[in-house]
Parts: sequence; structure tokens; C-alpha cells
Amino acid sequence: MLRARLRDTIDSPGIAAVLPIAESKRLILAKTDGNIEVYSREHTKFKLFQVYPNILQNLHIDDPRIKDLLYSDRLSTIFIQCKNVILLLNSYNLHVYDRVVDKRGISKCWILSTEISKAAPDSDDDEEGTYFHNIYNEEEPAVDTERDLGSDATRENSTSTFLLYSTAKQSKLRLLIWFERVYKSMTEITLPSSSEYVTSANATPNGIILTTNNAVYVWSYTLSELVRIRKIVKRKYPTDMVSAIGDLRGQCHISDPNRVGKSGSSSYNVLERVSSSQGSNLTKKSGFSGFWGRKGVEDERGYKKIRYSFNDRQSSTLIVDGMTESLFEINFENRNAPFLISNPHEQFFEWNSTFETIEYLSTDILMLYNSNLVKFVDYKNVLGTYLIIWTNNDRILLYHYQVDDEGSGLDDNADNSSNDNNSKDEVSICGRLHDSDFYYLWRKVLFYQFFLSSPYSIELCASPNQEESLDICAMKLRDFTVLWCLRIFDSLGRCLKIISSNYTKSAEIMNKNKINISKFDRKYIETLEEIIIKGVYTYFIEVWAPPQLVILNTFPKGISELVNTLTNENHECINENTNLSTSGVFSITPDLFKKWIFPYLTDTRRHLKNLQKTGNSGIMWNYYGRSIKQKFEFFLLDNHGQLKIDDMLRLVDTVLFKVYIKYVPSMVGPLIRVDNSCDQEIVVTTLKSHKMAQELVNFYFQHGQHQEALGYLVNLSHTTTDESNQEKLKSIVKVLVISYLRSMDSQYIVEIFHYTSWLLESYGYTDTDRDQILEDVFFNNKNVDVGKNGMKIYKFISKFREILSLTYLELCVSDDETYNESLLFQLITRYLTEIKNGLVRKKMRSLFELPLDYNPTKMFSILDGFLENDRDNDDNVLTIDIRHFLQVLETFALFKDGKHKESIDILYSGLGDYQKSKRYCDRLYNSNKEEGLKISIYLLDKIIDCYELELKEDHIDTVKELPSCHQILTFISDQGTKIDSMLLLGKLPKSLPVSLMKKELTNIIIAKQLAKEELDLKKSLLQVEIVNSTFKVNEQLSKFVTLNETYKCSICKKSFSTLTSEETKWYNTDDKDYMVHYNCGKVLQSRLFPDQVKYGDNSKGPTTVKDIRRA
Amino acid sequence: MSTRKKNILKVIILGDSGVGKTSLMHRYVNDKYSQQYKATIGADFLTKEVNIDSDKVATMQVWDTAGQERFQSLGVAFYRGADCCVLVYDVTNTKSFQNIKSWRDEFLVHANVSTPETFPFVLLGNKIDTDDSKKVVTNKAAQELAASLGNIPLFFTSAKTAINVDTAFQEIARSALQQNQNDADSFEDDFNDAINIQLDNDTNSCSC
Repeated sequence: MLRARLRDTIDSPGIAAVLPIAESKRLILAKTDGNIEVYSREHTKFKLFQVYPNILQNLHIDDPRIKDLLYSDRLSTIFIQCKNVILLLNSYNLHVYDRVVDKRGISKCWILSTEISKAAPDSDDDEEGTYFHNIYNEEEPAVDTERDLGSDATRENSTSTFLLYSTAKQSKLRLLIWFERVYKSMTEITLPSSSEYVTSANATPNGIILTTNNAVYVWSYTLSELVRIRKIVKRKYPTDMVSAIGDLRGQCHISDPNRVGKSGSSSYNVLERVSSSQGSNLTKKSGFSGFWGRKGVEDERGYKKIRYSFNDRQSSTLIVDGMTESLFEINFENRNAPFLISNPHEQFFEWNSTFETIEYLSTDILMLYNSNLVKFVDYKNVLGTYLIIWTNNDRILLYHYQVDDEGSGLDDNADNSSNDNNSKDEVSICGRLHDSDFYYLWRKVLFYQFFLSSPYSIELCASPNQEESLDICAMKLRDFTVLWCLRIFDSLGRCLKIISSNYTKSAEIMNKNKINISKFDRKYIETLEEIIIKGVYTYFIEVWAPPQLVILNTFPKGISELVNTLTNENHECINENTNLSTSGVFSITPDLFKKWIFPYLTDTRRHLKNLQKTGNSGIMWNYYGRSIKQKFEFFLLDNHGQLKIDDMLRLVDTVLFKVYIKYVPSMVGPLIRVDNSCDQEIVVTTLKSHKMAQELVNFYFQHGQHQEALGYLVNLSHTTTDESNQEKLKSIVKVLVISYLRSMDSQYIVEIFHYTSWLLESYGYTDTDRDQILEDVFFNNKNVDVGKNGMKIYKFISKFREILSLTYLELCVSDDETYNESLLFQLITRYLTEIKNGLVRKKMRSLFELPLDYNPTKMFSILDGFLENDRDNDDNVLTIDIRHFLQVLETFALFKDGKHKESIDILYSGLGDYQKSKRYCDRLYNSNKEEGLKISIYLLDKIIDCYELELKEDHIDTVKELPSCHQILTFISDQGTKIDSMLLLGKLPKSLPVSLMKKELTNIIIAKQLAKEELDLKKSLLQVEIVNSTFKVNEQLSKFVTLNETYKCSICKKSFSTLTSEETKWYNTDDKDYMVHYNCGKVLQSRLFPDQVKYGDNSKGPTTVKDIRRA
Repeated sequence: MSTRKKNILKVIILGDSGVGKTSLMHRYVNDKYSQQYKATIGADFLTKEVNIDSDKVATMQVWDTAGQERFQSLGVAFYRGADCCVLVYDVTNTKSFQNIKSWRDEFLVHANVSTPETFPFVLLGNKIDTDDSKKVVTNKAAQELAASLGNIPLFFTSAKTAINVDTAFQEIARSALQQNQNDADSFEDDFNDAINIQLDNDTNSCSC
């Protein structure tokens, strides 16, 4: 997998300490003669950059021999550890700028650093305050200064650096603390036992973890004291599926009936033991003396002394403990009482028993080494891609390691490499195990996961086209992950089968021997099963696992067979190739199916639908930082037929349907109702066999198969022979058919009529029944377009129920959504046949008063035709009242047609009804003033004509007695104020005495006078408003600001130039004026309101400093 | 362990584009309303502390979704752990009302809820501040729909004028909490009681 190549060798006899600085690509060598050599790495070669001769010579140090070198990037400082002094050197020029002297002697040093969150989400504010106060109490103002800088980042997260060293008496420790780059304090720490010594130190946001040969401690920032972690707990269940499968295999052994009744120890001979961490052997070189001054331990069980703390990628704090062969996690949920969570890790130590030293490389990989071998294990990736090794004979070896990119190379590397270490590694890891394929796949998965998630993945890639290679790696990881998950699933099936078989046998033995089965923990096994199923399907969802492969290998037999049935492909080769055995043997519990497997199907369905929608132009697959456009082929298996997206969707939807039927029947309905591609034949057969009528009908509906749906429902009533049931079924069928008919749209109107007729025949025993059926199907049916089909429906209803058809018409006409002109004419025609009925006339009248949209000419012709015919429904001559009524209705049609004179002719000349004429004029005046006035004058002319006529014919003494004279006066009183007075006076007949009009004319004069006064008042008010506005404008125009030498721009705080004519911006806020430089104002404005400035939209931009502040 | 118990109520708002999902969320969480329509991209969420029945406090996480594309852009992770689904229609838009059932069905298919029969849905008829003449979905039709969906709670709301928004979300919180507690009941402690592992390398060591 990783291939390390020796790039450079430095021969430098007399090395005392080595310090590689990755950040600046430098290597510092401290020599026994006191010289310091600085090498610089250029590409793959080290070049001697500078030698600092005897750097400690004039520093008056008792024993100037260098024991170790340390480095802090944050402080830009190199620490030189001597016997009783630590020197602090500037990392750029190696100038000694400070020293820490301890006469007790210094045995070992650690440089630690961590980011500490000021506002941790679950932290208590007071506690945080205390923390800062406690560790930085000596120079509190410095902290305040940082805060005053106003940087949120500084306040939220601060990096602290710690120098920890143990004195010659190793139980005495001293801790020096830097906050950011400022030294803060120093504290002494004493371990409880004098024989105790620190094995590792690790700074975490919650405190410094100190592991010693006897215990684990946290040096709490809050308390500034050492707290021993005493509580150790164990997880009830494993957290990952590999551990779970290991435990399950253990359960296979526990449940072995041959062990029943024996008081056994808990240790068991597992079928295949696993651990959550296993290694990748990268390189082996002979002659290593160890790293950075440590000497090798030859003892094979040297790992017993390992107790090492580090933080993993998720910032969990872990301790690898050789003595207990455990991996501990530290739980800080309760900050005052942290505890350890123990995870058995025997396998790790068994595999790595020859290594006595662990080093955590800063980006997440554990390096195990001894005097012979270096081994990297799976805690993330290595810092950079270079490894420096200091050999026993004082040679510095520079290795560059990369991932071989060749497609086959990635696979073959581990198996076919000429490097014998790989084969040895295979043996060491998998030699005792039966299932080496499993581990092989697992190693591949882990490796590619770490490779892709490494921040150095590009550098690690040996290919010339790194991005493409990384994409290929992501695809490879996907393939390995799928196969690995299938392998785990296969193991799960086999284990459960063994356990189930063992349990049965054990139960028999126990019954026979009357022993209690306490070893068999069903709940535990179920939990392990869930962890595995969850893990497997979560991976399947992430990697978009091919549906055919997943369904074939993990679904129950009856469902997995659908793959062959629906795709017409034979997939027996899959099991042959993958050596999987569980297909169709092991069935997942319904609960687990619901929780973890349905999401895989629904998500796969979603991806396929997205692909379908894009016409297979590709959708983005995001995986381990790679975004790759994937087409449908991504979901297919190699070397299989040419499936299309629709075929695959059919498979996935049908499988989903089948598993819903099997495990959650209540979800069949929702699936059937949404847009789906389920196989019709399977769905129909299955739903029929499960008697899921509603779902079947929904399915037919979804696919537009209304004939089939209704046919099925009609036949449903005959499916039972039991009479009592038949009645019940019949009534259900009625409800279902009606409900179905109501959901059909207009294009199926023929089918709707057909099945409504069937309903009427089958259930329409009485008129009420028929009415009910017709109402249920057609009334308030929003799915049928009444505009197009209203008449058809009306005729259909009329055929069965004449009375109901009238109600239907009334209902349609009264509703805006269903209103239709032809229905209105039909309704009017129906009303005319009942015209003798007073109630019908009332309805007609109110109908005409509604603002309905219809063709007035046609309406008029209907009414006029009826009047001309002069016969009612019983062939009697129309009464005068009815004739008048219809004539009045005609005026509504004429009004709509704009034929107002004709209306007035009918109303005044025809019917002699001044009041109706006057109301007509008013109605028109309200809708159209101009037309209203014209028609009022027309009415006046009519009245005057009548007056003249009466005057000629009647020969009376006084005009006052004439009826038309009275109408003229009434007209003046009603309309006089609307019509121009001069026009009115001009129109009035000369023979009409003014004395008669005295009251009416006076009223007109008063009304006109009032209108004039109101107008004058309005005019005066507007003049006052003009004066006020002018005053305000002048006030603004007269404002000024004096800019003298001391006046400073509110934004840049600089004064204004008094020598040049500079443009300024003037803002006003809180009634204060601010002048700013024109450019300052514009820049600030453009930063705060970029859009407005960009698009020149100043309307919503800040106009005052207040606006800017608010923004 | 108590920390495993969820104290966040995940509420998902669904409905056609433009029915006012985002406005409802902002009205409830921030008590703000913007007249300007801006289409939601993907999904977005806001949180609010809620006090239910004056004795239970929880954090409600209200997930707003894009109504333009039905579910196709949101993966299973989005729906996982939903405690309540709010179905929103616009009282002036018949289509949005007719689509409510489809939204419910789509949600059930994608969300994979543990008990589809009892999963809490709440129906909101939004924009009731508009003129009566513009309202096309009758209250009766809405009540019938709510009844047909299993008697789910129905509220007529206006994000614009804040009518009934708080009341509706109180009910949503109550339903979500009930669902959440049902799920939380299935949690159990992660760890066994303390075990005895001896880290002390030197059994004869003494602290004095």
C-alpha cells in the first residue's frame, strides 16, 4: 500500500539529539561536541545549511551536554534540554533568549499545546472564568489586552503551550505555561508516589493527561491540580461493527452446547479475533537504535510498559495501555469527574508485541518501533510524507513514502511486492485467522479511508495526475467497502445461524440436566446484530452501493429473487466471486429492516430518480472529500447486461414495495400513492393476494388504469358468498367506487358516467338513493372541469333525476369556480318553464342582480323569445305581471349590453315606471358617471316629452295636475345636483312655472354652494401646507458645518485638508452632524451595502451614520 | 446514560413552493416577517428554546425545506430523527392544498419513521390575512383533510400578521416532544457500572 523509498542519507558521527521541523523543512542535529548542524530539505535531499559551533560554550552551564531537542511552532522556539537547564532558542537564528534552570536536574521534557475553547458548548461560564483566572492569574492584564483587541477568535479559542519536565527525581514535575505567545505561569506537580514516573503527557482542551507507570491523571486547568482518574467503566456494547462481529463470534463459542454446564473462564477461543486497530507494515530496516535518543528493549513483552495518551481525529483522548492490554477513552462529560472507558485491545498487543515504544505522529497515526522495525498503525495519516530515521551508527535516513497509484498496483502491492515485509506482515496479522479475505478487505478499506482523508493525500499520491488518481482511490474504496460490508454481513449470518443452532441444542441439554442458561444473552446478541446491520447499511448509503449486489446478498430469498426476475439477468456469479454464503439463509428482523435497510432503498431510489431526471447526465457523489460526477453505470455490476435506469428503478421500487408488504404494511399506501416505478404485475398480484383493496386501487389510479381499478372494485362485491358479508362488502364497494370516481378528472368523464350508471343500477333503489349517489359523485367535485363537462353532467343527471339536475345547475352557477355561461342559460331556460312560481321568480331576480359574466344578447333573446311566444309551460298566456317581470329582467341584459336607452324605453315608456327608471339611472351613474348623466338626461327628455304630450292632450288649467309635472319635479329633486344647472334649466319646459320648482331649485343652489365652500377650504389648507414646506426647505438650505483644523473624519479619524477643495459626505444621526471624507464614506458604504453600491441602488442604502451603525 | 437522551426536537416543514414555510419559521423563531420572497435552497434550520406546558423545556430545531423540488435533493440524513412534520398549504392556492397528501406520503417514504400510523403531523393553512375573496380553500375542506389524515391538528395561520403562529408551534412542540419521548424511552445506558481494572504497575508502591 504505502511504499517507502530511501531518498537521502546523512553521515554525521556523534549525534546527541535530532529535531526535525516539518513546518520549515529543517532538520536540527545536536552533536556531542556541542555543535548544532542545521539541514534544509530541498525536495528529497538534505543540504547542510549552517553549523553553529559549540553553541552553549559561553552560557555558563554546568554540564553543557545536550540531551534532547524540542520545538514549539507556536512560540517559534527550540528547547535544548541539558542536565539541569533548558535553553530557549529562537528557531530562526538559534539565539538563546531565555533559560529554565532546575538544580534538581531534568530527566525528561514534553512540549504540549492545545486550543482551549473559551465558550465550550456545555461549559459553565463561571468555571471557564475560573480556569482563565487560575492558570493565568499572574498577568491578568495581558489577557485583557488580548480581549481588548476585539478579536472574537482570540476570545473563543486560545492556543496554550506547555513545557512539562520531570526532574531527576521523576515524580517531581514542573509545568510552564504560555498563553498564545505570552508566558503566563509556572507550577509544580508532584506525583503521589515517589516511584512513579510519567510515561506520556498529552494536552487536551479539558486538561493535561499524564499517564504514569501507576495511574492516569488529569491536570485540570480549572483546579490547577492533579486529579487521578479512578473510575473505569466498560461499554455494554461495542461501538463499531468490526468489534461487534468479533464479539458475536465470541458468543458463538459461549453458546456452544459442549461448554454448557462447565464453569468456564470468560476467555474463549474465538473463531476469528479482531481488534479495532490493526497495522500497516510500511518499512523495515536493520540497525535502528530507536528514535530520538531512546534505546531499544529486546524483551518481546516490552509493550507491557507502554502507557501512552494521544488525541485522535475526532479529538477523543485515548490511552494505549500495554499493561492491561486495553485502549482507554477518557470521558470528560463531567469535567470534575472524568472516567476511563475500557476497550479490550489484546489483539493489538498480540500483533505488535515486539514494539516497546509508541509515538503519536501529529496528524493521526501511531508509529510503533523497536530497534529493528518501524510500523505505522491506523490512527490517521502521517505529518507530511517524509520520515526521518536516526540509526545506531549515527546516520540520518530520509524516507519518502507514497501510495502507488497504478490501478492494479494498489491491490498488488500488498500481495506481490518484492518486499518481503509485506508477506511477513500478512502472516503476522492474518496467519492465525481463518478469514484472511475479511482482513484483507478491511485493511484496504482502512487504508483508503485514511489516505483520502489525509490533508496530505495529494502529496502521498505518486501519480502524475493526482486528482484523477484520488478519484480512482475513492471509487476503489467504495468497491472495497461494499465487498467488506458484504463479508461482514455474511459473517453475521453465519454467526447467528451457529448461535441459533447452539441455543436449541443447549436448551435440550439444560432441560435434561435442569441447568439454567445464563450464558446465552439474547439481548446482547440482538444489539450486536443491530450494530452490524446499522454499520453495513450506513456504509451502503454513503457509497451508493449497487442495488443488485446488496439485494442479492442481504435481502430475504423471496425478495432477492426479484433481481433475476426483474432484470432478466443471472447473478449466480456474484456469490461465486465473493464467496458469500448467506444469501437467502439469514433473515433480518423486521425491526432492523425498518430502521436501517429502508433508508438504503429510499436513498438509492432518490439517486436513481435524480439521474432519470437529468437524463443520465450525472449526479455528484461526495465521498471522503472527493466530488465525482457519477452516471447510472455507477449503480451497475461489471460484466452484466445493459440495464436502463427505468429497469433499476423498477427493481428498487418493487423491492421496497415487497419489504413494506412484509415488514410495514402501513407504508404500502404512501409508496403506492407517490410517483413510483413498481412492477405492475407483481404489485397487483401481491396486493390482491393480501386483500389490500384500497392500496390496489391507489396503485391503479397512480398509473391511470381507471378501468382496471373500477373493474376490480365492481367485481369485489361478488368475491364473497357469505350473505351478511356480501352486504357489508357491497356498501364498502359503493363508498370506494364513489370515492374513486370523485378522484378522476374530466378526461375520464365517459368512465365516470359509466360507473355512475352502474352505481345507480346497483344501489339506486329509491329516489333518495339515486340523489345521494349523483350528489356524491358530481356535486362539489373539484377534479372535474365543469366548464367543459358541466352540460354533459347536467344532462346525465337529468336523465335520472330532473329535480336534482336543477339543483346541480344552481350550484354550478352560484360557485365562481364552476360557473359556466351555458349552464346559466340552461338554468334560465329551466326557470322560465317554472315562471308561474313566485319563488322561481325571486331566484331569477336575484340571479340577474349578480355580477355574472354572460352574453347579454343571447340572454335578451331568450327572454324576448319567451315573451314573444307568450305562453308558459302549461301553454297559458302570460299574465301581465309576469310579462312586466320579464321585461324588467330584459333591462339587466340590456344594461350589460350598454343599450341603456332601450332599457329606459322599456322601463319608462313601456312600463311607465319612473322609480325603476330612476334606479336604473342611478345604477349606471354609479358604474359610469358619464353614461349615467347621459341616460339621466335621456330620461328627463322622455319625461318632458310626456309632459308636452299631456299638456296638449289634457287641456287642463294648471300644469301642476299633470302626472308628468310631478315626475319632472321629482327628477329635479333626485338628479338635479348631478346635472349641470344651466343644462337642466335649458331643458325644462317653458310652460313649467318656476314657483313650482322653488323648493327643488333652492336645494340645488344650496348643494352647489356647499360644494364650492368645501373646495375653497381645501385650497386654503393646501396653501398653508406650501408655506410650511417652503419654510422647512429654507431651513435645510441654510444649514452649515464649519470644518476647522481640529475637525476629524468620524471614520478614518484624520483631519480634513484646509488647502484643497475636497469633497465630503455629510451625515446626520441623533440630531448631530458628521462630516466624513467622501472616499471614507463611499468605502464604508460599499463594504456595508455592496449590493446597493454595485447596482447603484441608493434608495435603500445608508443615508446617515446611524444607518451605517445599525447595519 | 442521560446524555444519550435527545433533548432536541426536530421539526420538518413541508409544502409547496411559496406557501410561506420560511416565513412561518422566521415568524416563530425570530418574530420577523419579510414581504420579499426568496426561494429556499436545499434546507435550512433555526432553533428555539420552547417551554411546553410550562414545565418541560426543549430545543426545537425547525427545518425549512425547498418546496420546488420534492425530496429529490435531500438525503436520508435530513429526515433521520424527525419528531414532527408540519404540512403547510396556502389558503389562496388550491394546488398547494391538494398536494398536502402527496407531501405526507413522500415524507413517510423518505423519513422512514418508526411508527407511520402514529407519527405526528400538523396541518397549517397559511396566509389567512388575505382578503376573503382570494381564499379558495374552505375551512371545511381543510378540516375534512385533517380528519382524513388521522385527525391531525389543524391551524389557520398568518406568518405576516402573526396569527396563530405561536399557538400552532406550541402544538407542534407538544407533538414532537411526545414523539421524542417515545423514541428516548428506548435508550439505555451506554456503560456498565465501574469495573475493577488495576492500572497500578507497582503493587508495593506507597504514596508516602
